Amino acid sequence: MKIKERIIGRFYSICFIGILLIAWQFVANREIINTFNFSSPIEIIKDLIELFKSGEIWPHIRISFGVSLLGLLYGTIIGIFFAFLFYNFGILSKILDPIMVGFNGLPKLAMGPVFVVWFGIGLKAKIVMSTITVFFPVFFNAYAGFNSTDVNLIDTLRVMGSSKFQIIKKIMLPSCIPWITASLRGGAGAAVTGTIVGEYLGATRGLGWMVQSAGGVYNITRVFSCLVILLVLMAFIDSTLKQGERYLLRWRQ
Amino acid sequence: MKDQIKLRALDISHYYESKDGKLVHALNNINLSVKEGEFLAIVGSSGCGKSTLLHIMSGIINPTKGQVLVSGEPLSFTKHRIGYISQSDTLIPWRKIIDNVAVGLEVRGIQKKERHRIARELMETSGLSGFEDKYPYELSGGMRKRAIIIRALATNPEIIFMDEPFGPLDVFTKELLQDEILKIWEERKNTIVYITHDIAEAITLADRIILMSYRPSNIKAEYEVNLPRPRDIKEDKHSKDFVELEKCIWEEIKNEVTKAREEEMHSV
Ligand SMILES: Nc1ncnc2c1ncn2[C@@H]1O[C@H](COP(=O)(O)OP(=O)(O)OP(=O)(O)O)[C@@H](O)[C@H]1O
Ligand SMILES: [Mg+2]
Repeated sequence: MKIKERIIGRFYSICFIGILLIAWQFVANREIINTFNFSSPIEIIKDLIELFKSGEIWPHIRISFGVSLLGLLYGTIIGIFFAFLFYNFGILSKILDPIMVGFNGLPKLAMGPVFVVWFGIGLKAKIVMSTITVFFPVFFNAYAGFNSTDVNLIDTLRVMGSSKFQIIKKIMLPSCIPWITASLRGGAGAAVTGTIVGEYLGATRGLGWMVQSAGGVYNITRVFSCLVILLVLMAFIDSTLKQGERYLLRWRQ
Repeated sequence: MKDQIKLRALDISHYYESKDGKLVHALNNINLSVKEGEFLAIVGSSGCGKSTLLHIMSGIINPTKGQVLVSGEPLSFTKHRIGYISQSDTLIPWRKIIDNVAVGLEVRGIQKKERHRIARELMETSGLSGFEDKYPYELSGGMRKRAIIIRALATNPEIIFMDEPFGPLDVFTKELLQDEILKIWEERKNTIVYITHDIAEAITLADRIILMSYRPSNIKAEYEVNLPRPRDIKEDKHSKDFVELEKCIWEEIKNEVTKAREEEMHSV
């Protein structure tokens, strides 16, 4: 029943996208819209084929993908670590909570130029960007996760003679997992955005740089090609995370 | 049965501080000894402080005042083997049942093969075989309770604390599990401290029953249960001794319950 519904849903969304693309191509052919500004699906597909055929796209994908993954990884680890510190040291959270909330409210992407000044236009600035965008959602979620740990489970293990470390490993971290995975999928989007914006600001490679430089010479087709690649990249990361989440939370109803 | 004292609670008083800063005087100067191998039941009306007393006696919380001794020494989780069955469901949701049952052994550093062997054996005797690789959500309420009980038994604890372990279960499952508990205890003779608000259950299981008063709570009365062992859950209920004792405790508890009701009315 559920599978059937899902297939039907998929079918309709593919139809919908198909109709949109055909309509786009149609108005482009009839020159109702200016193809110089709006390109057309066929142009984009041609461009994509060329990009992959010549292989020139691969290094850019690799860089952007790699930086995003590193950002996701670092942001997650640092986020969990800080959440753990905050949870265990009440004073720390009392002093720093408002500061954290404040920083979180800050538009992190707007700080891009600062990172470029601090870390140069190399990879470092981009990794920092995407790490920071991932850090906050993971931090707040993991912190909420630690705080919602079932005290009865902790007591059960304590009575059995568990060490602090065993309790962290066997109870606290696992009970955080649903919270962390919930933040990760949002975090992945943040990581890619952080990377791309980082590359806008100054880079010599990467999908963000490609978008930026193609836009600079009004090569709208190329811009769209890059967006398509980004879309696929995001979908890939998201579905991988979804699989991972399903595996990690297999103990849930 | 040796008449040695296994567990001793000395001058226990306890206050809780509620969120608005008010103090709740839960326990008042409780003195209590449990003999080695004794099955002690504690009864009292809801909210009188039974769980609090059990938390203190099992070392989970420190009392505001007083001390708990196991075999004459201060209680220690690493030195003494304590079994604790909480009022709530405490199976670890992300562990398979077998790893839940074996967690106490795991904590004590027993190798995986050995601890799985012990867990499997216990699961078999309690009718849980076949569920080793299931997660807790896949079990019924009664099965979960069983798993929790054998998890506490797996480390062969010196003292087992149980807080209304069968509270939310239906009568049939409850009687079945009571019977199992009795069999296990008659075989192993661990010291058991068992909380319940079900007087009949207390009489069915225990050697001795302690009745707690309403807050600030202390020991209001104490009863020896002289029904012969091994007990018969079904038949004992109709014996004269059982009925008389039940009536006697019920009379005593009645005015405590009334007191509790009044108190609650006032606080609302
Ligand atoms: N952590 C806590 N903070 C503040 N007050 C508490 C806390 N735990 C218990 N109390 C209060 O202490 C009193 C005794 O609670 P306790 O849980 O020991 O009762 P109980 O006899 O086990 O009740 P029940 O039979 O309903 O389980 C209650 O009035 C309760 O509100
Ligand atoms: Mg209770």
